[in-house]
Amino acid sequence: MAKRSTPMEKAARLLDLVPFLYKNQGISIEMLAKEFGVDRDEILSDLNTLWMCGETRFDLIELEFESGYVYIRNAQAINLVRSLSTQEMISIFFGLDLIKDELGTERPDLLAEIETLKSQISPELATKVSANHAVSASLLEEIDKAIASRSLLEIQYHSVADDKKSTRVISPIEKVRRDGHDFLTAFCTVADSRRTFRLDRISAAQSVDLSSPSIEVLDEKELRTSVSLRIHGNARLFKETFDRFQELGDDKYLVEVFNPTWLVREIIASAGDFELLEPLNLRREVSRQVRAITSQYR
Amino acid sequence: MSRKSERLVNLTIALLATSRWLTKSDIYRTIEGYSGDLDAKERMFERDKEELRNLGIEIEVGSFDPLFEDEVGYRIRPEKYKIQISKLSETQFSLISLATKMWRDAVLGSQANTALLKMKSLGIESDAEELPLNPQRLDVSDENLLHIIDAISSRKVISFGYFNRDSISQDRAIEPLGVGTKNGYWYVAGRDLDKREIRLFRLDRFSSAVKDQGRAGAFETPEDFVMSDLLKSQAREKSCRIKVRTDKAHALRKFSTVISSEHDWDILDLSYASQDQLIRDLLWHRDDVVIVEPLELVADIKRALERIEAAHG
Repeated sequence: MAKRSTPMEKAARLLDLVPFLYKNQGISIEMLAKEFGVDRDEILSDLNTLWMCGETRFDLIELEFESGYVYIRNAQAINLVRSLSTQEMISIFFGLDLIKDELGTERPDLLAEIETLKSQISPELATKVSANHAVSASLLEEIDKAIASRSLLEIQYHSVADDKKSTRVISPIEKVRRDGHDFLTAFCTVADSRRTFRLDRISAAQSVDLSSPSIEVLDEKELRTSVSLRIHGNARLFKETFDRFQELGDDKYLVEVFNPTWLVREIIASAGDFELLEPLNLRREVSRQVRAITSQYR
Repeated sequence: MSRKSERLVNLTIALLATSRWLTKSDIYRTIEGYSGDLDAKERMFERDKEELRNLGIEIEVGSFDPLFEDEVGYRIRPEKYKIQISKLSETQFSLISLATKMWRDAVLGSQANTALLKMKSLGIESDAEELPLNPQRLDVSDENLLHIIDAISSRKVISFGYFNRDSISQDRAIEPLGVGTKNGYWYVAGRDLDKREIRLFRLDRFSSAVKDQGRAGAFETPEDFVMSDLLKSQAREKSCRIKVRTDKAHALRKFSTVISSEHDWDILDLSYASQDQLIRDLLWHRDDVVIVEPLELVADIKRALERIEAAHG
């Protein structure tokens, strides 16, 4: 069961119930509970409480809900829609910003309506909020459809580790969120195994119709490499780059990586903040690549 | 528990319905639930007033006769209590409906729902235009966001722990000015009281719950403050010239213009925001990218290469 409301939350809901019921006379108890996001017991408790309220104890609000449908009378004094709280306004502004971001330059009529709404609700507050999409909505829609229908998707993907753009056919499994980024886990027909794709690196996606997409999802069997590192600076970046690590003390850490190429790039990109200790062949690879870069500047 | 909410509602009705100031004794006499001796009643009333104010309900205090301030009275003005929007078009309603639905299961989910309920209570056709849009959900669950929003609106200084570059938690105190999300991260903008300048803080780098410091209305928001401008100002305003192998460094090409191409190399002008990040980005692309100008950057990258070499040599 949902958690019980505090008296203040309940009072707020009671005050909001009144104008809502006036506008929706005869609404079913079930529907009312759903609209207010509480369960049936809670809304019944609300109605029973509201029934005891009124201007004086001899002039109570008249509520009728025995039939399972709710009617209200004699509550004119609070038949007023309460002003929006700051949190409510901000929740609207974030949403409007995302809609605006998705519209781009399309539908100037809607863009104008959004601006009108913002200035009607609170022009001062509107400037304190800003939101944009990390991934385009049409791309997400395509991916969601493919997940739901278990169909195949052809994607264009920018693999940062190899710095390559590739087209591959995948069977999407699920979307996951980690460290502020959305990922798609999928069975990749190119790699013939399960792979994780960062959504913002997929530049295009379209469903493909292949006769029998009977692909079995395999367990992750890829070999992980254990690597020990020493952190000389920017430990925050280290922790944000490697979501799982083990602290060994003395600024030393153990991480497990799927892709050594990616790891070596991360070590070099840290500009000396991360030192790769072991395995030695990877440590030598860092050195070798650094010399290759240095030779470009001679 | 329902007795308390009942009392709060009755108090609201009484203060809204009255055409004159209601004194405390009026209130204790007519509203059920104020019990005990006078001290107990006073304490209950003080708490109730505070809770209604927390719900955003403005209670006015005044007196019958300005010459005799012996007993003050209370009331709520309906025009202050009421939402300022009188009418929404169907399209506007559809937009708000869509905007609030993005919060489902996220930290402002219940607030978004009550906002939508209020709009529905204004009486707009519920079968309004279906917008052909499918925006992404807002899936932030960080409770700090709620606290920060309240502090922005009440203009209270807040303090919190924040992981610095070395991943060590440091105490920060800011005058919070705005919140925003960009590329999947959530940011708070605020004037850092130590550094004495407006800075951005990433919500996922907070190491503690946000705490209020001091009273409401403690600072003014700069008039020209616009959150979206601040998030944009992280944008790439500086530029440098680089040499890139053909068909390599796609991530950098997005922010570049091609100046010329020869053999296996392209010459690009790359725009960037921070120098530290630029060096990291260039190093990431290994020997596929060479910086040409300005010379200070060439010197910087050489120093960085020496550091890596020294660590791994």
